[in-house]
Amino acid sequence: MSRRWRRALRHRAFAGGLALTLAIIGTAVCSLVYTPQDPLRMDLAARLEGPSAGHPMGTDQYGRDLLSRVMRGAIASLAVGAVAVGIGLGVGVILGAAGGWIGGWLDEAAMRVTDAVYGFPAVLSALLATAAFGPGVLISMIAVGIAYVPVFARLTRASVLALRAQEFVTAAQALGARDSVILWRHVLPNTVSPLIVQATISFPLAILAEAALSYLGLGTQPPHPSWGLMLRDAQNFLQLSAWYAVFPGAAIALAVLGFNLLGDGLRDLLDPRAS
Amino acid sequence: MTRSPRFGWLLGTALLVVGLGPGAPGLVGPPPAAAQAPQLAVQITAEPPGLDLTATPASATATVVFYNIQEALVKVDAQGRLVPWLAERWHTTDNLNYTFFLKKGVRFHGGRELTADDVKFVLDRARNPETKHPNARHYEDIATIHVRDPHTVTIALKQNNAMFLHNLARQGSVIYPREAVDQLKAHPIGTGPFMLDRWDRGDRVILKRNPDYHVKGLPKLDRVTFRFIPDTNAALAALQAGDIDVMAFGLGPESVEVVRRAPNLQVILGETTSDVILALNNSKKPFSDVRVRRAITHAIDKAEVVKGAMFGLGRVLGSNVDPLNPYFVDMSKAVPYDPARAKQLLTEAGYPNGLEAVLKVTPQYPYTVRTGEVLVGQLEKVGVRVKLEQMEWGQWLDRIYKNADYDMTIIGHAEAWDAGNYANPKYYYRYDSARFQEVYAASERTLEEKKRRELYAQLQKIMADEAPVVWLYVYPRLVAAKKGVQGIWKDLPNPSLDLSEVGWAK
Amino acid sequence: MRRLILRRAVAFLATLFVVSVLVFTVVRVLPGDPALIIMGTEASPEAAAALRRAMGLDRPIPVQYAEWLGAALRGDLGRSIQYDVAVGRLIVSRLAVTLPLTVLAAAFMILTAVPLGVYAATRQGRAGDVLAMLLSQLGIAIPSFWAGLLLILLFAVRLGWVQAGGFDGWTAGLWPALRALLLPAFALGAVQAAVLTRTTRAAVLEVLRADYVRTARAKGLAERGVTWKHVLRNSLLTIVTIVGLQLGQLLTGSIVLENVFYLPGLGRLALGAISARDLPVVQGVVLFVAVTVVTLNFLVDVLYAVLDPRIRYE
Repeated sequence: MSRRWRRALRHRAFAGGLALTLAIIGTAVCSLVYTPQDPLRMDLAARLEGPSAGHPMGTDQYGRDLLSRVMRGAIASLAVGAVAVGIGLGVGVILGAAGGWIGGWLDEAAMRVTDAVYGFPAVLSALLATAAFGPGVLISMIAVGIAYVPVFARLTRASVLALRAQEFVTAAQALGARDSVILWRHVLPNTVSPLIVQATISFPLAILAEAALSYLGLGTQPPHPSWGLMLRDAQNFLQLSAWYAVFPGAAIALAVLGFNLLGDGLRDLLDPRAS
Repeated sequence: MTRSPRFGWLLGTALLVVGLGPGAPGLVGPPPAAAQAPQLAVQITAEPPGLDLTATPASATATVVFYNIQEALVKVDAQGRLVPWLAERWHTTDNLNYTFFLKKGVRFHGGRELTADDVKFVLDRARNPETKHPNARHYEDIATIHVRDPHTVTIALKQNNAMFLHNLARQGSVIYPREAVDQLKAHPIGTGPFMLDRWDRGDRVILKRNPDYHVKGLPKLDRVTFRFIPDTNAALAALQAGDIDVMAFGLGPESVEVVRRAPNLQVILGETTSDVILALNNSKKPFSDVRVRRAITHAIDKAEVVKGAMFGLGRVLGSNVDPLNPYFVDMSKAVPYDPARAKQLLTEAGYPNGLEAVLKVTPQYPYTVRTGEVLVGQLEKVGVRVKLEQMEWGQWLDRIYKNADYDMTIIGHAEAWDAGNYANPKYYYRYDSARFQEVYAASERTLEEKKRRELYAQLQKIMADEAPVVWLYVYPRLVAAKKGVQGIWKDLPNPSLDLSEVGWAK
Repeated sequence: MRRLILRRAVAFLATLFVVSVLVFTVVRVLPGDPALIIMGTEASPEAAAALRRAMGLDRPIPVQYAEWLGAALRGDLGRSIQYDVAVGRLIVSRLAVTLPLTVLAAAFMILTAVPLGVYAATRQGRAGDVLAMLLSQLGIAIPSFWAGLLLILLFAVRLGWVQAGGFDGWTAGLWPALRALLLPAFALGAVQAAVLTRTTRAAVLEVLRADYVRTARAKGLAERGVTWKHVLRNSLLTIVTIVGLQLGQLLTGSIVLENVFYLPGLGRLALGAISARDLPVVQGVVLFVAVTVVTLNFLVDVLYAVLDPRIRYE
């Protein structure tokens, strides 16, 4: 194990965040091959039960096993974060890098569009998108991803602008390297750390956005489990079976916590001043 | 008729109704002695898209306006009977010429007396194609309207129409003063027990007492506030916290127990005419094959659906004629739950390995989502793999209702007497059955009670046989109210919320 | 600096133009025939077609855009299909709820987050800091609609201290009106307060590391004096920037919470208009929100330029 890794694992926030994140990813992967019960199987005789040996987290309003559903729900949450952050990051980096590197007219146009897109916050753009294309978790996550583009674009652009003036870039240019090669080999690797930190901040926000959209009925579609959807269903039964709400809620909180801690830790560790 | 009075619809039988006279219930109500401030705050889930009953069939508009602000010549009462209302009686000798005698001394809100000219104006306008009345077809059999004197009007029909009086009792047939026709959408005027005080867009509609109401002693309330609260949990919390007095339509079946347990609340459970169906697109493969449609009906355990989606509340249904209808025949056993038979039928139809379909539901109506979830599990067992998709109400109307762009969908049809939809091949079921259309047309022209009943029995049999859709259950009437609120209709034979007799216990 | 602000202003105007194009395009992509929705399920196709013509929905899209923008610049956002009321008036009347809600939430956020953040920074690594950070993590991790519901159950249903939701208007009196907004403002502000606590803490830590603070300490200033006089003033720049951006977040956060508390605000107006396909209202509200957020950004930019001595020119 390298020295950097050892230092990282001694960082409490990072280690805690990493453990939580890995646990959630592990659960998601595991749920693909194994859940204690079929997360879609209904058993109306056993609806809204509290935790028991047979159902460690109890059952929902159709008697489905909540442990299995919470496990399977991890996939939805991770997918949601991955799609939204992937789009924000992918499009943002291209826009930011192109704008920052080429500059001039292109830069202006790119920045105006990202500024304008920034005016449509995630939930608003997801609302519009689902109204246009029908509700579905993919559509709303694409919309959330687009809402994330500006912040990634600005981060990339700022780094590229700062790096463009640096010696090693000028040297590479003097040596006759092509722009695309310089960008790819020298500039972008140096912008990675702020982008990673931003990704870990955006990821849990996407999970929360999915929950909010599911609450409005526009996120994940039943009967497939997602934590946001479970929480929305659970609130109908809050006064009958409070248990129902506890576990999906805790799952969301833990996932968000995990990614946030990971982001905090990364920020500390990647910050050159904090060694 | 040996049915309980609740089912005693007497419509289509004009002669019987004529004999009833002004049988308005509650005419001799107790003197209004309200210790509590006689106000009522009512939750409704959706905001009316305008208050003009002659422009929108939206149930939210009917809830606020129908029977409260505006009334019609004839009324469907709490027991589902057709009773004289603004017309105190009528008579006909040939079932073609109906003469209506208006009740005297009925005044529009803050204004003049209702006269026969208003009736003529309203009905002429409704049947004029320029008006774009949403249900102009209800008036298309009217030939002429003749005003005899200020309180007498004769309507001549082109042909017999068994639904004529019933159509005059519908929400689209309310009488308003002819000079106020332009303000129907924002500030309707009528003869009802309440008049519009204020409509705060997006928040509430407030009605105040009509001091000149033509039924003495009514209304019992001074003020009614309809608040638009779409979220059922928010509404329930508001009821529990005492912010509102009545949840008129928004109570979810799962919350009935919670309300029952609360010492200061009551639940009112009753019947409605709202048939919840699994609609199948009859113009699309594989649902164009009656064997597939019957297979799907066999595959569904309706009792289990009611248990799973409605917490056991709601009556299992077998055709589109609901139990509040006088011609109701119980067809719920006609195509029983039988998964083996379902599989066999699917194999015969050429789908031995089952089939795939998309089921669209709308979160605007949570029961559609829940029912869908239960159905997905049941259909899976016979090899029908269903993908559930939620869509917004606006889109549902556009894609499914208007363009029939769907495989399967779930929705409740609230209208009473809506079997005619199955005789219309352009309706979104796209059900085109010559046999059904013929019998339905006959039923419309037949006035003789016994024959009409036979025709309706036939209609129900054809529906069950041809299974154009799967009739699942009748949506129950679920009202939650504070204890002390009295006079709310138990059953809902039409989409209204009559508050004229509602008041507080002393 | 004047040139910088001028350049920003030009960019700002360009951004507003892009916003208007985006708003118009996105809204026009919405499927669902508004005419049919107005008429309801039992409408005849002819009636719906006539209504479409009356609403101008049958003309070419660029023409519709030009007319819409021209009118919008004159302050005319069209008429609501659903309510038959001017959209501008509708927005103003809804702002009577959303604006105080946002302001209350912002006040709550600033009043709790800034002291907590400063406190945590001065206690870095100690119990107080850990607790504050835990609280803020929790604040971020709980979905706001869920927090809102729990608050209703506790404070309205169980304890009966406040109403469960709704808003009786300012005519009901100042205190009843504010009381109706307390719970939603709390639920709305909590998430952003959590974010702001963390930012404040980070900003203060940054300043604490800076040289002049060390100098001040070396001069023998008491710890408290150092914190308040030097540190807070110098970290204010970051805090003000973040708060400016968060105001936009609060505005959109209210979409969800106004639904939980059934407040007649802008968010519910937007949601209702989307499902009713009330295009003029959807356009108006989205335009209003986007323009507000973009304007806030612009103001933050300018403020930053004014406040930060290091930015004098570019």
